[in-house]
Amino acid sequence: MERAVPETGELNDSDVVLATLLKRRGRVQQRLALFLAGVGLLLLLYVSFQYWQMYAAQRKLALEWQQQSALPANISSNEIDPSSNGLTRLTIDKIRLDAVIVEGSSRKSLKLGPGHMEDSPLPGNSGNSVIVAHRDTFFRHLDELQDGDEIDLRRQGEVYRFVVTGRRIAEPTDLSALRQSSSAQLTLITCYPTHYVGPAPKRLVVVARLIATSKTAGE
Amino acid sequence: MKNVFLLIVAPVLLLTLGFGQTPATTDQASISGCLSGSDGNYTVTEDGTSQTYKVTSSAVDLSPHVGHDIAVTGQKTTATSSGASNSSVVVSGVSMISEHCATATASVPAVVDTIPAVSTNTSIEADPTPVATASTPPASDTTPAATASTPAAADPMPAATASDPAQPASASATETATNAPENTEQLPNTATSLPLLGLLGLGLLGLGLLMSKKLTRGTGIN
Repeated sequence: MERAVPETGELNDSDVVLATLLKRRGRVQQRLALFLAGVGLLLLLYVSFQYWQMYAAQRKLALEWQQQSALPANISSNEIDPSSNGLTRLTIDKIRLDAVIVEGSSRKSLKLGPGHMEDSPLPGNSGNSVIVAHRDTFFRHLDELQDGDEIDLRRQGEVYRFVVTGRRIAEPTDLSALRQSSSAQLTLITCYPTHYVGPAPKRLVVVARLIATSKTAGE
Repeated sequence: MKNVFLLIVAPVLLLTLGFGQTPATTDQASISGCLSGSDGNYTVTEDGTSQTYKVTSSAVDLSPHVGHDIAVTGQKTTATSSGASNSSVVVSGVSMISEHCATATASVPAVVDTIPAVSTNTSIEADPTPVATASTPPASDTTPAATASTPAAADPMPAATASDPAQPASASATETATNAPENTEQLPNTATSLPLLGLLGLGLLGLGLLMSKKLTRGTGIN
């Protein structure tokens, strides 16, 4: 497209027009570059804000959880305001996960932490307690869990130790993972494939059973 | 110019991929009820409302579910003539709630109504009463008689749905009918678009800066 300027230094009208066009195109390209960089920056800020929000929520919840765990032993659990207490902390050493569970599995809840499905019993109670979390945050390494790996849930001075007994890939419409059980069971669910940026057509289901309940030594 | 075109097309493609991550559920309908019919001519009588829907599916084999209480998801269409049986659903997914349809459909609660029984059932069967059974091994959790009388308030979290302690212990016999939690047609969607947005943002920022740098040096994008 670019034409060499005649050595004589003489510019005719078409050269002037061409030069103007090239200059204008340069300006458009410059603006486009700035626009792309601006949009990119905004997206990065948005994503960072979302993760920061989650981090801040987890810190706040962890603080609440610590306060709750520090309550004197003579205060029974039913004396505690249920709307602000009863937080459960999920710890899986194998995948370096330590998070406080939020209530519900809505989009909003899952933005803040692993969500306990409201229709399932509390972790440690008899029945199938279901906890779901995002594959790109808390449950990123859930697929690394193997049979025998330990999962700890701590709530109000109690430690519920679960051991992984199985894992499978399920369709989103397969609700068998939510089925109730007679014994205490924990089911962790996240989207599958876990390490993939794109559609998540399936779910990874990890099942664990309660093997021990004990008192915490003090948090 | 070709490069500029690519710069615009690439983000658009990435965005399209991003939107594809969230399943489109806006047109999806979910109906739970008793499946009847045969040979591709199936109907579902919805629990609670007793409305009959004609159901068709090429993706799901409905024949094994005839006579079962099921929950179907799919595209719902309603004929303008507005007869009760003119509504139809093209089924994309089916899950069984119970192997048996209730005898009196009108009196059978919908899936939503069956679920409280699950939680009630759970709490009655073995509410572990955390403080009392602190060091009790899990095997002792199933002590129905002793723990059934424990008030639900012992569970501090709002999720504790044991709201009916007076429910008879025989409720556990209805386990098959109360297996699925309420309001759940699918397992929760746990994929966010944040990683994709982050990558897209990083890419756009990089491209923008690269373009700007090239233009500043006077070489141009071409």
